[in-house]
Amino acid sequence: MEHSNEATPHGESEPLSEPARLFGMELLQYRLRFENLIATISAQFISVTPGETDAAIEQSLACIGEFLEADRCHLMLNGMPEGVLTTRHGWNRDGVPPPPAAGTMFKVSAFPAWNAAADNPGPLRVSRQSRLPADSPELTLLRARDCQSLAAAPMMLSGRLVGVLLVEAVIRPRVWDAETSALLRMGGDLFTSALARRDAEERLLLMGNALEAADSGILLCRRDGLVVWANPAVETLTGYACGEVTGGSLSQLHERASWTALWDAVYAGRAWRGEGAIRRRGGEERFEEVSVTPLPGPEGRSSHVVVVKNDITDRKRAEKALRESEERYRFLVEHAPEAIVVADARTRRVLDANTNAGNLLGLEHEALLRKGILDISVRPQPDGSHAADAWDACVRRALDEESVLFEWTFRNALGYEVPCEVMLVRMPSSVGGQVRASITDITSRILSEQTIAEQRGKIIAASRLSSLGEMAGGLAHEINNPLAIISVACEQLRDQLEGGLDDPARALHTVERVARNVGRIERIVRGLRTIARDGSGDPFVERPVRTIVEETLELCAARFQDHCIELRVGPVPGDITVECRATEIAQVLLNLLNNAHDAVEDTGYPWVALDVGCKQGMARFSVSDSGPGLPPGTERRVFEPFFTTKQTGRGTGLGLSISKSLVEGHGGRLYLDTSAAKTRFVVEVPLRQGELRQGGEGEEGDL
Amino acid sequence: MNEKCTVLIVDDEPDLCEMLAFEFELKGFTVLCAGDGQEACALLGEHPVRAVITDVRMPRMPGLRLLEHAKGRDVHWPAFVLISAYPDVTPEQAYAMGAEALFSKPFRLAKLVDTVTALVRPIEERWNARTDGCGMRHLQARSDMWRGKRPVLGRGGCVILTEEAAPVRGEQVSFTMPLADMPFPTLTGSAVVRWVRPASAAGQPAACGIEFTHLADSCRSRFVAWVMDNGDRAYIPALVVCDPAMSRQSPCA
Repeated sequence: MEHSNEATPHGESEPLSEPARLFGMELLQYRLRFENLIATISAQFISVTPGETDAAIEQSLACIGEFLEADRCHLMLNGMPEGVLTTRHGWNRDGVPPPPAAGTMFKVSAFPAWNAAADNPGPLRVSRQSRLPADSPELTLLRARDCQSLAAAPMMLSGRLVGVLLVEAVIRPRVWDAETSALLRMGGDLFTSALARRDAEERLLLMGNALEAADSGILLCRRDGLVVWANPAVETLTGYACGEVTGGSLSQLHERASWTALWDAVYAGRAWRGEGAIRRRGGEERFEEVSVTPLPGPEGRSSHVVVVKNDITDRKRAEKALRESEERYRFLVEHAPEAIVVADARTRRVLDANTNAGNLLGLEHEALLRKGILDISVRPQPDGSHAADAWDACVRRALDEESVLFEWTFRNALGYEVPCEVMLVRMPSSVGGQVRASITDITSRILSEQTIAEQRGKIIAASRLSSLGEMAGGLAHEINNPLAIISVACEQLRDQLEGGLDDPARALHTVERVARNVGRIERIVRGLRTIARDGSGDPFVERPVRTIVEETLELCAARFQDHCIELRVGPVPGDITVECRATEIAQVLLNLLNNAHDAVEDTGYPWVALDVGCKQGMARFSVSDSGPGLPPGTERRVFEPFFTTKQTGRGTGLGLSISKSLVEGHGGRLYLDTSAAKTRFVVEVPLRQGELRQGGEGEEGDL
Repeated sequence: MNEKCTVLIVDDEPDLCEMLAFEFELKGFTVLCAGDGQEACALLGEHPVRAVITDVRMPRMPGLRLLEHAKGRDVHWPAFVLISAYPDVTPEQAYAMGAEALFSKPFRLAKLVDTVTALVRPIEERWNARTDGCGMRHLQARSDMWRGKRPVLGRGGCVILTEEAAPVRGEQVSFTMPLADMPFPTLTGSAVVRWVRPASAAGQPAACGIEFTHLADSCRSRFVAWVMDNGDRAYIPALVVCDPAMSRQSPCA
């Protein structure tokens, strides 16, 4: 590499020989040509417009190339992307090929000498004969450009490498002298300033265009309010043409009286931002957001301000609509029949609540907002569940975009439990992590459910009494007969006593008669007690099967006898006991016997059979009759409530359904034995309740 | 006085049968006992029974069927005393079906004995006992109240429509009954009220059935003659004439 610090041919003071004089002349001419060239190039850039810059550069490159008798003269520029030198302009002598594509682009970083941000990095001159390492950037550049030698001058602007001006010898080797370097540097400087000016002008144009095109109305004002410039958006916003606005006062658009703060800012030359109403030309009122920004001037004092206006009428209207919508929904929520509470999903804190929620819980709105859900809940819940866990589980389900309906017991301010039904839904995602609970007080519903349960109990009682009523005639007969005997016996005894008791043996016999008939009445009344009282709360007690059957028969045998219906009772095992509510079993048997009685009443040679047995730990009672059987198709329906085959007014249709539920309450079953030739109902009751009942409790425990 | 008078006692309660038999034998009756209606029917065919005392509800043949059977053969004899343990039959029905007396269990034995003793006497002796009608309520039957239908007169009593406050069951009354188309223009005497029916919503006036206990000399013999001729079964007629079809619909039929 031959640097420019070698001796130059200029400035030698020896007497000039002829060749020297010729050389001097040549040199002088060269100088003149050189000056001429610089002047030419400079002139090109003086009056050039931004659009003509490229053409001027091309022309200047050609001039430089011709002057230096180079084969190529190229300009590489940094930028797009930054840090990469790209060949933008170039001149190639006729017949000289352009550099290969690989040589048109270099990274700035590959040339440390230019990259060091040196104040004035020197030009580069390199030829193929240079004794440089093969991998030096200079030789790399030379090879990439496919030339014999080249000289390059960096173009610096404010410490940044903006480009490189290159001349190359392609055909034959050539040594570039210091003059070349100087020329390149001067040309480079000219290009740099031309390009910089072009960029600045382009930027200014863009900025001007941007201001013109901006949606916002932009006004440039003096500090006395005189509008110097306005963009077209101002006309759109105000209805006044730019020409009308420019040169006039800002008060045309913003009255001093209503925009005092804006005017204060303009006068003071300070920044301000605010919004207010303006009146468009024609009177239409619009809302604007306006900002005032002082323009920096000499010595930090601003002589002008920029006023930027934006129409926010639509936003204002949307806000108003939103506010009204919010008010509307607030009204809906406030006056909803149910209590509504919004709670944080994570902390369970009450975030909002309507009046009804306050009424339900007996708390003021403010007090309610200080509470957590657990503070107003019964802990643990009446079903035994852990309140926090149960609530959180419901909240999790609600957050999964599922609306959750569940029962929850709150505790109001007075400490009373308030059973409620809660519908939990997730709030919209814009207020994430919140759930809304609509709460309905179901105290009255629970009360009515209790009432229904009580009514059911009463119906069972009524049906029990109804089966009694069906037998009332028989019972009166059964009681009045022994009463008649007792009454007659008393009269006879009195007669005997008055007559001097001449036959004591007969008197004694009469007294025994009385005692016997008193016993009859006693048994009937005991049977009545068994069936007439409500046994649903009775404990399960071991009772002999025989006693239950006898007491039941005591009640209905007379009825069968009176209606000439044969009652066939099979042998009853004497040693079997059943753990049961005897009242209920007797009621079931009585019901089956009465049904059988009614079924056969109008048939020839009627009979009803009751058979009692014991099989596989179950007591088994079966009632069959000589009747015509159930009408076809009714077998499945006989256990349905209100189903009856009896004449209107004779049966409630509840007997069998109630009997079935009573038997099932014993863990037994009541069914129609369809395999039998005659109508045959079978009751099976377990002899012992123990295991079954324990099993039942286990199930409840699992719930 | 009760000698040669045979009473038949029918009841499925052996205790009661036995005690009644003892009582009636003590009073001089010849007593037969039956446990049910069929047995009683058989005895009626074999013995001259003057009075039957029968339960209403019985196995095999109930009391009302027995009554129907017996009165179908002879309206007057035997006299029937029904004893019911339960109001299967109303007094109005019982008397209309021909029963001469109706008792409800439990009953007074002495009264039963008195009733039977009275019933077994010949019919012509029935209504000549002297009673002074002093202090009794007087029932005046009015012929125009029948509204064109014939007055209802039975073998031992009649129905009287009452406009005034109705008498109560068992009350002793005196009565006068004008009878336009009968051999006796009026029937007067005293009686016992056996049943009472209040005025119906349909506009029928209140009525009561009375059993004669005494008839005035002026009409007694002519009434007895009418009774002996008359084949009507009713002892005291029902307000609605009790027809045989209705009697068959009795609860124990």
